[in-house]
Amino acid sequence: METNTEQKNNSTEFQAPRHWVGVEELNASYWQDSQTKEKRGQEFFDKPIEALSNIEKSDGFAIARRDFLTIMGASMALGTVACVRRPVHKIIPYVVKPEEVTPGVANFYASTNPFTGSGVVVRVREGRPVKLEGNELHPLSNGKLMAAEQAELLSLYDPERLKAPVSRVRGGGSATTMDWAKFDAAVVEKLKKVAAAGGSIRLLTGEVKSDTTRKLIGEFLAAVGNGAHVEFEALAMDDMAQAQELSYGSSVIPAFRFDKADYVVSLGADFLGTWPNSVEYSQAWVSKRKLNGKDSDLSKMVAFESIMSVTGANADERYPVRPGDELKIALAIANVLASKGVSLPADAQAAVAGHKPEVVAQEIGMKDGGEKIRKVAEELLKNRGKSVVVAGGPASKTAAAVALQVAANMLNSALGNEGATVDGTSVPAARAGFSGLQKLILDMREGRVGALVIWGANPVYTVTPAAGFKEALEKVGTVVTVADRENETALLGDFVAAENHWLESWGDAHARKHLYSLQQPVLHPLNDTRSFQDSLLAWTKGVSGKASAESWHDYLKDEWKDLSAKEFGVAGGNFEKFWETTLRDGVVDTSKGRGASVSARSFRGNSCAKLPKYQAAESEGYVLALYSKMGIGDGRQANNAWLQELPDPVSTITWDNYVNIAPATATKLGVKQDDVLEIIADGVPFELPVNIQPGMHPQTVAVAVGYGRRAVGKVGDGTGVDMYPAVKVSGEILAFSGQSARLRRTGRMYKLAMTQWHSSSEDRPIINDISLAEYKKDAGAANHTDPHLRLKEVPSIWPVHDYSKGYQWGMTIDLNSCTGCGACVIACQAENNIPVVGRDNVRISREMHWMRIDRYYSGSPEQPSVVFQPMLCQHCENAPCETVCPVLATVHSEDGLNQQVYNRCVGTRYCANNCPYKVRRFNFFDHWKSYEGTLNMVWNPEVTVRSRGIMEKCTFCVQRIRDSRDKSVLEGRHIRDGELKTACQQTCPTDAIAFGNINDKFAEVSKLRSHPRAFKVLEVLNTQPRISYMSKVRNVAAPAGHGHGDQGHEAPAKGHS
Amino acid sequence: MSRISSGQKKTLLVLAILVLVVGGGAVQLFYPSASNQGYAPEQPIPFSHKLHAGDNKMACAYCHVGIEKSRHASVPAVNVCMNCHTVVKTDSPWIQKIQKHFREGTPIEWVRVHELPDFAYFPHKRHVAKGVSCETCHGDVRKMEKIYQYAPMNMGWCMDCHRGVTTPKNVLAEIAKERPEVMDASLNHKPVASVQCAACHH
Repeated sequence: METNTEQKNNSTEFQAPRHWVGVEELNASYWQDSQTKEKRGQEFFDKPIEALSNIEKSDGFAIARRDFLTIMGASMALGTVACVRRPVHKIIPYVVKPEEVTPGVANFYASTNPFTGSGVVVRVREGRPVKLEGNELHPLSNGKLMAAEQAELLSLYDPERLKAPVSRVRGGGSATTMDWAKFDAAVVEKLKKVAAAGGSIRLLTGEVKSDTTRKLIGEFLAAVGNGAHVEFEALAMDDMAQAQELSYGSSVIPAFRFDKADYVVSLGADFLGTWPNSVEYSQAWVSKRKLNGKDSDLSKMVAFESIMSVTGANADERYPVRPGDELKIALAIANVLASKGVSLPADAQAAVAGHKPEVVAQEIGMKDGGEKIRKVAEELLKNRGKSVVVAGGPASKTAAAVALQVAANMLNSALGNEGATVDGTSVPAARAGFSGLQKLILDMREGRVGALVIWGANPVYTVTPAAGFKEALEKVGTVVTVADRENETALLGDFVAAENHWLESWGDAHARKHLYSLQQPVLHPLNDTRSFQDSLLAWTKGVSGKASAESWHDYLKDEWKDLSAKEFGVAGGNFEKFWETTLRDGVVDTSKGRGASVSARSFRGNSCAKLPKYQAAESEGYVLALYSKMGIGDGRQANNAWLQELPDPVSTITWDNYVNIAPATATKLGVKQDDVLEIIADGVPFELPVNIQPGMHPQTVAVAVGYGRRAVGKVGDGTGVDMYPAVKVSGEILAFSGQSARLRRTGRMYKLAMTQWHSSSEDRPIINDISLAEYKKDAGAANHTDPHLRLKEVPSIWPVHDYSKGYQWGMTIDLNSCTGCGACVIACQAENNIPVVGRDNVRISREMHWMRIDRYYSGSPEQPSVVFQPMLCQHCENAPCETVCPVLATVHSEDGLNQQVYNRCVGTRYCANNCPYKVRRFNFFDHWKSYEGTLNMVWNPEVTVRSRGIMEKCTFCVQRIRDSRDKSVLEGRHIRDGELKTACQQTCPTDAIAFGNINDKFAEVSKLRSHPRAFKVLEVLNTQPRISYMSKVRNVAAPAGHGHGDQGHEAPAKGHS
Repeated sequence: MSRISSGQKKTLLVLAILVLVVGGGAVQLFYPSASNQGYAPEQPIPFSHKLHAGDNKMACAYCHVGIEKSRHASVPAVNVCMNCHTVVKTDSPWIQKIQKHFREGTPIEWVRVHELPDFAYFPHKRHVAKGVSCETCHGDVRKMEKIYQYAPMNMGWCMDCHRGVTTPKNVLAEIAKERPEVMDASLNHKPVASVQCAACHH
């Protein structure tokens, strides 16, 4: 490759690496720095001595190393004597064993996440859920699940969930735990009092996806009289719903059909990452990005965004803008379309006319931007009806967010995408938004609300204090919160009805027209808790003396009896069978066979009156963009350690939020990575550490919301900084972005726990990427590993394994499909009992994830291209780890696996030292000991929980291989291709991972391995990895990573002095 | 930083050696093997395998329902006992104890006899399917008044069978249908069952 150490040492010849991890590497001075040299020369970025001294410090216990070893020897001898007889263990069988349970055999139950509507399958062992997977029968999940939803498993076992209902005295008074009968009596008495006095009762909830729950809410409100229901979600796309109402007369969040779009323009829309339905969208988008067979066409995505999102990182072309510029881009595109004869509504003329592409591009600072915007518009026009313009999400939700959405609607309608790639007719109405809450706050403030019941919403935390919810709450006589913990809102109320986790409750969801799914409990509630609906039923009964059902389960079933007759044409007598079947499948989808469900809605030109005339923004100063992260989202699962430790796909930072600034801004301010900056956003100050994020507009500063919780539990409290106070109320929406910000250095530092620097390929090229143009010319060029470096015929001094019989496992990972979302990381963590290590351990590179996603940039720091590379044990044929283990704790198996034998391992760490991929993880501590109480139920019983001093790494889910093998042997057959899936492969929303028997020529994995795009990482080392990667192909004309002529990418500057 | 003086160090070392020698000797004296072979703890109810499986010829799988479909053979739930003991020998105080458990819904806490370490995964179903009889590992349970651990159940003992040294004849004959060389008594053949580490340790 172009780079090697000699060159780097010579400043006049300096050429930055083609793929780089951070902007530092683009500087010649970085490579000459003695600290860098020392650091990069180390195999590990932490040292055992250093670690030991850390322990000494933390224990306040000072002891020299030699003495430590002496004493350890003695204590070991003592320990051995004590341990001859193992402790007496009990076997406690069931009293009455449920018929479907066989100890040691997993049951799978379908259910639904009522908050997202996605179908899940829960793997249950002896009544204990141990893994969440996507439901293959659910058309929106298709067997896949994003990281945050998989992590719900850990939230289920959160020991800090409420154990029983609580009544508290307001104003910081005492809290009393009660039993449900007393609690209900107290609540009902209060509600009755309010009703008798003619007061109004309000019910504030999160978005309700269940028609049945909504009906029950109606009954409750009717019983208490004079009530109303308000739905609110912190990150609701109410801007989109409002614009849909204006443009089409229906307040919905449309479904986008990326599987039908050849050209996608994203205006700050993170539909592959943090959007609801991102699983569906990822699958659909990637279906147009597969290059596995002979297809050589890709869809194209262009993104204009203020923070580098997962979607932007996957775009073929990406342009950094300031929050608010998305609208200007949309109107500039409209301007070009109008000049090409596309008719736009009369109301849009004035706004569109002023947005000349050159003017807009000049203002934003896009080099040759006018030309690029014109090109985008031309491509959109060329792909009429086969393109889509999407916008939305907190980072683009400025005060003008509704106008941005109207502009997107106008473009989609003008291009004939409405009804083709935009489906606004088969989706349910969007009801959650800020406008309802705004009216509620007003009513509360005026004393018109006698009692407030809150469920699934935490407005004291998620709503900016400027909205005045907290003050208004004090004016409400009775506040009842239904929550799983005493969160920020519950702490200010009178009653907290301890709620089930959704895995403990019944329910249903109505995600699309004709698509219904059922939610069934998969375990008995762990604590004395109750579902929200059961609470509502109890209070309805208490207030009115009657209720339409004894329990929520009965209510739901009755409701489904009606539904099944109306919607699915099930006769009364067949209902039980239908119910059983639906419970088993988890979903009923009768949309097929009903004809085309999508139809184009007519665009109301007068909605374009919302569009503003062109006005240039300040070219100085900073603009704040708030965004949400893949794992933490709006912060509801902030107490989930899996999610806190999940590296952000783009920044790879764990455990904290931080302020993202462009490299140029960092230089201008004179700050480095981890320096603490003070941000004053419209007068409100925040202090956050800096993350230098390539690909940002120099005027943009971006921070994630969802952090800095105050009442969520040990893990989430005080983790990061709460950014919701920076949100502004703007008309009927909450404006997350676009506030002006001032930045000030504090002179302090805060070390962010970033994982990307933890392992290094020692500057050996590890990524292959190529442009579509080049790929079409010569598919083989996708694999630009130097053929001279491929050591195919090297004789081995070790005995060669014979794989002529049986299985030989192998894997392929398609870098073109991988969006970097991180679902596989959590799937692996849940499946393989991977412990959480905490922020301090991540800082010294001791995270335990077997599967990590490396992120590499190429091109310029202003406008980089991104590649994600999932990295895990390569199961090398010539494994360097195996030859150095002194105790044979890592050995090769007859089916090609590189086995790690925990009970043999003595922890020399030689193997990790010798692994060129740095995928081995060492247990420096007994991490499992930090799992308290119910958290211990999360362990997968099929995988050993590792103790201190043990090396571990990816096993290719060997427990699943064993399971499939057992099954196939008992059935007298071979394992079928596709039957056996590793955890990461199973959950990958884009099917980037294939796994199977490479001895089978017809297996999917074998076909992919012989594809021209397939390459092996660090092939030059002759490790012969068992994983093949498939090169990334970008839909750009110029060679990828080599300047990107038409993207304005410049090759990194040469010859820095 | 308080260092330990060299005198203290010596004392510690001597102490450690002393403990090793004395302790080791004591262990050898009282527990000749570190394996739990012969372990026969008192059970909360003196259940007789001899009576049930021997005299009354009940099939093992009647109670141990998992042997063909699970990793675990599993100990029966109280309701399995009650299949017979609602009518059989209801005057016995032990049976009455079982009935009480059943009525009150409290499980019986049996003392575990056979226990492999947590890092070893032994699937009953694979072994039963290959024709390994229960007696091979558990001894002649039909004669055991009180259940005890018959085999050493350490890894060497497992491996002897997997390598073809102690493999039961009927199992060997079954394997020989596909691989006739396993009948070769000189043992110059590949193992008869998996000896891959990850087969049991994962």
